[in-house]
Amino acid sequence: MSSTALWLQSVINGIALGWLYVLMALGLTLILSIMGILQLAHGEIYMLGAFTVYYFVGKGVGLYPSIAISMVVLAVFGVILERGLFRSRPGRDPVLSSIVISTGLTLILASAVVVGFGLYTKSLPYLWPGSFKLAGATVPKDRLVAIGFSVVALLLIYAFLKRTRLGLAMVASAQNREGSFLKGINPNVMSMSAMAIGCALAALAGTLAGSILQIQPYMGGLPMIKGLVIIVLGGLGSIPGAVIGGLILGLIDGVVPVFGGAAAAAIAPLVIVVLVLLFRPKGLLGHE
Amino acid sequence: MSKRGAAKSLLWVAIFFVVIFMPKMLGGNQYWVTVLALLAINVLLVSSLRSVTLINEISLGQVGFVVIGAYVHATLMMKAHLHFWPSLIISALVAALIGLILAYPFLKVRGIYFSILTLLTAETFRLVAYYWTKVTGGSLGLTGVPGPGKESIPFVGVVDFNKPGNYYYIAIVIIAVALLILYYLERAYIGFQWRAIKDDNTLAGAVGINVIGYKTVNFVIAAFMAGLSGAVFASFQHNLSPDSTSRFGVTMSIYLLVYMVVGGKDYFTGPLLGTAVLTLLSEETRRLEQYQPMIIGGIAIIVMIFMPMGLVGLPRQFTGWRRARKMRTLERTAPPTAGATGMAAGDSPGEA
Repeated sequence: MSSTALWLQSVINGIALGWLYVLMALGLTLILSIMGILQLAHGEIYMLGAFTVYYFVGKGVGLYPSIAISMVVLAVFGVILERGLFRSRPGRDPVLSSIVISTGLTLILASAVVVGFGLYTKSLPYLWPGSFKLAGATVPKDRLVAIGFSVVALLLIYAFLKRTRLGLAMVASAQNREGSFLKGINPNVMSMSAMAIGCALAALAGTLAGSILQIQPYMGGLPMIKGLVIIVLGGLGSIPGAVIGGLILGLIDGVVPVFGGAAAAAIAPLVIVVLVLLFRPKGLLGHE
Repeated sequence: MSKRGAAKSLLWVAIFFVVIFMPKMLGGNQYWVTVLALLAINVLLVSSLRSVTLINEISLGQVGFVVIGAYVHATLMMKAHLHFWPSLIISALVAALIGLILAYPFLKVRGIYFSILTLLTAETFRLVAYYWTKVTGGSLGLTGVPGPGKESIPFVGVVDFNKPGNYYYIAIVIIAVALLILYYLERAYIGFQWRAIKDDNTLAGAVGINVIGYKTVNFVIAAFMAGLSGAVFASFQHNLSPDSTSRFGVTMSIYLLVYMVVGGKDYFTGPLLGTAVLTLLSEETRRLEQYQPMIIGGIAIIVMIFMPMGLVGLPRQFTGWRRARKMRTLERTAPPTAGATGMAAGDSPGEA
């Protein structure tokens, strides 16, 4: 394979990965900016989304209907989590309690899936089998489907936040919780919506990733960390920032291991985040 | 000495004897000696995590410095053939140096962002250990990390410290010294600066405290202690694996946090008690295999919701409840003037 083809292929892989990270980051940034909590179990939601699809595909439901079911199931699960565990109570330190509760949840959910499905890796059906040639590079079609799904989800979220009453109310609540409360926006409803949307997006990302790669109970840790780093990189609450950050991290994961070695790819996000923080502490596109 | 002080010192003496004679009491049972040594190493690690909470930050990255400490120690002993003690100190210093480099950009942000960055650090260092095959042995890890070897000690004779039963004492001494340093730092002048920063970051800066400077010192000390525990661990375990399910994975950061919170993060003895209780519980529930993380996770959530001060804070929580109930009965029976004093008493700390 020629070197341009190798370049092209790794760039396409990177972009596909990057869009999955963007989906994770979108959910996390919604949850973080509206609820003010760090949801460290988001990676387990991602994993649960993939396993829900695996369960329904095993029952004979098609892949795409299963994805829809999984998103709805996980959205409901997210609402339950918000109501039962994450809702802020007086006298509780929101940062520490959210970190501890969500880490506890991480342990519980991961081991529940190990009990239910076993430790071994499993695979989902292809989103779109086969591949095509592009300038000498072999491009699997499922990468394009994953990118397409992610872009559509992003546009829908964007339109939702800018055009609908509930979306605008969520933006207002993220900007100023007390102020929007005085205007009659119920912060608890906004938190529930944020959890529902965030968990649905994580379920979608998990399914897409699970179909491209494989699924196993501990698949969620790394994408969750990437999603969090994207928030720091792009700026909290900024959707364009999340896209840019996601594509940066995705391209690092796609291109650097091929040309610079895996160790360089492992350390690159940390270096980039440190550089960005030194010059723009609020993130690339962040604002107070 | 008050009755309470006497009870407290009696408790410390009891702990001292248990720690010293435990391996003898267990009759040289290798398994339990290993559990105890790892418990002691974890206590130091959790204490370093707690030390960062003194500046009101939650570090999820202590494991990253453990990776540095462990691998630097292993490399120095295996490739440079350094002796145990200098290698131990150098590896902890390297961890502290890396903490110093990261401190400036990291401490510019606060709260959740700081936690995210430290989590990224931990995972980055683990992945570097995983992929940098030439130096770290890659995914196979490093095997044959030497221990301190034979040493002659006055009145005891030559002791082979490579045996786990004997190495246990070295680990205990190092960790006890490190904990004493942390204890005195917390009560020294610098500890008051940290407390001021914890209470109000902006106000502390306004009254002339060098906020970034003192935070950096705190973070570097925590990194040093984590690196030290990593080095002690490397010489104890003799092999290092950067696998995501090993001691260096994200799960370990999670467990450390749970240990701290279950013990009580506001108390110096919190990490000690929390780590001891949960380690013993994990050993007891080992036969449950894959259900075990569920129990630990459930405990973390329950403790966070119902006893936010942790196990060490339980007596104080009970006192708070009793006082609250007494006040309620007072309000019900006493005339309105007494109710006002009851309200004033309610403002005093004790609950929460």
